[in-house]
Amino acid sequence: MTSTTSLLLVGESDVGKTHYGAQLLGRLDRSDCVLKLAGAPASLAPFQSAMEKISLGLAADHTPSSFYSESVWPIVDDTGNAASMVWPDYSGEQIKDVIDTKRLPFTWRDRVIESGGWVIILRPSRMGLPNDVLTRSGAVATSDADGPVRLSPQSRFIELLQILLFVKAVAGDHQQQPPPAVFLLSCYDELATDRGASEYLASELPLIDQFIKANWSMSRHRVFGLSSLGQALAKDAPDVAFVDAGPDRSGYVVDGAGDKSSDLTRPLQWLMSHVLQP
Amino acid sequence: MTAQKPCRRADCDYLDFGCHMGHANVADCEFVRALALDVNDSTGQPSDVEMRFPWTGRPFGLNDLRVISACRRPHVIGMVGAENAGKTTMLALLFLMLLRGQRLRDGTGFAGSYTLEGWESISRWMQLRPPLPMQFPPHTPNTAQRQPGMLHLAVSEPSNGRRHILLTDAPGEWFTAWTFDEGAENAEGARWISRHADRFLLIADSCALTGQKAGASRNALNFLARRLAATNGGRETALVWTKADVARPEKLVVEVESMFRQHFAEGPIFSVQVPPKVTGNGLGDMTDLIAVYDWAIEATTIGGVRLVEARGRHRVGSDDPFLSYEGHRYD
Repeated sequence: MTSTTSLLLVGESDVGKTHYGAQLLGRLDRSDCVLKLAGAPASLAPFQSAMEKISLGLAADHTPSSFYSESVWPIVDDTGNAASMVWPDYSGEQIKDVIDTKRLPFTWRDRVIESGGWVIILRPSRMGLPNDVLTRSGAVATSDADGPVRLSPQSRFIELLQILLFVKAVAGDHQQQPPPAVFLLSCYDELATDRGASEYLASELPLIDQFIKANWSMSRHRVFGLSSLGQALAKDAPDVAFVDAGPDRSGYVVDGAGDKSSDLTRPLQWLMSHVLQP
Repeated sequence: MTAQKPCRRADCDYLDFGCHMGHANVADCEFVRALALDVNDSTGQPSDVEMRFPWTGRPFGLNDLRVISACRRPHVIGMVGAENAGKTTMLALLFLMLLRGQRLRDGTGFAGSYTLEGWESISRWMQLRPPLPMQFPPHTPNTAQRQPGMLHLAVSEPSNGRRHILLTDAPGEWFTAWTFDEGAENAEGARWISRHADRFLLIADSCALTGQKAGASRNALNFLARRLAATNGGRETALVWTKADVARPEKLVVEVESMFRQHFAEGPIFSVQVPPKVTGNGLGDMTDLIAVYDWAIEATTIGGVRLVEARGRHRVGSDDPFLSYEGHRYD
């Protein structure tokens, strides 16, 4: 039986949503990943440019701010469960606006309500805390020179989750648990850590970690580290070594316990299995 | 889907239920008038394409409390003390501790806050943001509001589900006015706190109590304690010495604490300061401040009756707190 699962993919600008989508498509095509494409997606257009760039060893372009598209991917997991996964691509500025204005366009509200599982991407390397009176270090803090900032990155992320949870709670008449969610710590290579994703989140972003654990039971969420490319790529200088190694072999996920895998579909496989069997 | 409400407040439906703000003539309501501002830039029409949320991120006023008080009365912690005593700094330190993963109590967790902007606006002063040096939060403005701004925390507790905690951030001038005149016009917010808080932190400013105006400060604290005890019945109040790094003569300590005991026989006494030293995990020693908040978030009693959710005969076989709730007293 094929069910259709609409996934809500959420992340602010520059967390790597497009890179992940493009790299996923490459992986779904391969036989050694737990999720596979069953047939051909109707449209790959949103990812065409990104896939081309990556195959040349270049970083994908920034997604235009008003852009939103969905492509439907027919997928099947290793036990034969088939589903249609709706994978969106859009610019993170739309998410930024929601946090800044506390106003959610009805189109987005309906996406939240209809979504069966959430893929939430955050980029820890951009979320560091400045030193404060508790740490007392004289070291230079993360740069924050762009004028008055109302919310720090960690608070912004929590505010975003509160908005999403509120929408689901109201839509579900406060009866339902939040949808199963995978939290992807993106650009995990930037963090230069051997730690598992759960441990990293708990020690480096503890307020977010506590928030997630307070709002999702342990069986309803997973934390993964994600490096879609395995390394950084420049926008204009092709990385020949990356191309030679093969973009579809680059990139990895690190699960909560620290096990590393080149199968970028693993977080989605976990999510699909929990969406289908709540 | 939903038709545009005729009011800017998401929770106001004056056509059916009357104006949320109590205006007989809705045209007088600031929220209805503010609708004119909510125009879509490109069309000039009121926005009917967005969902609004019942919190802004800034400190809560009384009218904002519905979002958290539907199921359960929030737990209000009243910070009571003169201006510049360190009330806001204590709140800022709390948020900085939370950001670093400190828990209010073992087993509890941070479950959210609808006033994140409020927390950040006071705590960012104590963060290092070059070229600015670290500072203390600025003086809480002495406004003519009738209720204090309140900072919100949702706390998950293993045995108790989720609790909503509100901490008042009121200007010291309100308490000074209230100390000397119970009915003072600009003390409405102080009276509100004294009537509604579940636990009180009475702040003793080490600096002021040993400074040039030590005598006046001692008097003011004495009469503030007296006023508070007369209103709250001498219950649920702790004395908190702030700026404990300032040396206090033994005689002063004994005098102030025995004065406190006279009014609040059972109340605990704490001493806190901005942490001077950094411990192994890179955090200053916050043990004292954690002890204050650990006491302050304790579920409390009102009129001697402990507020509990229904267990037993009224239980209706649901985990929904709305269905299983017996009601509460809310003055």
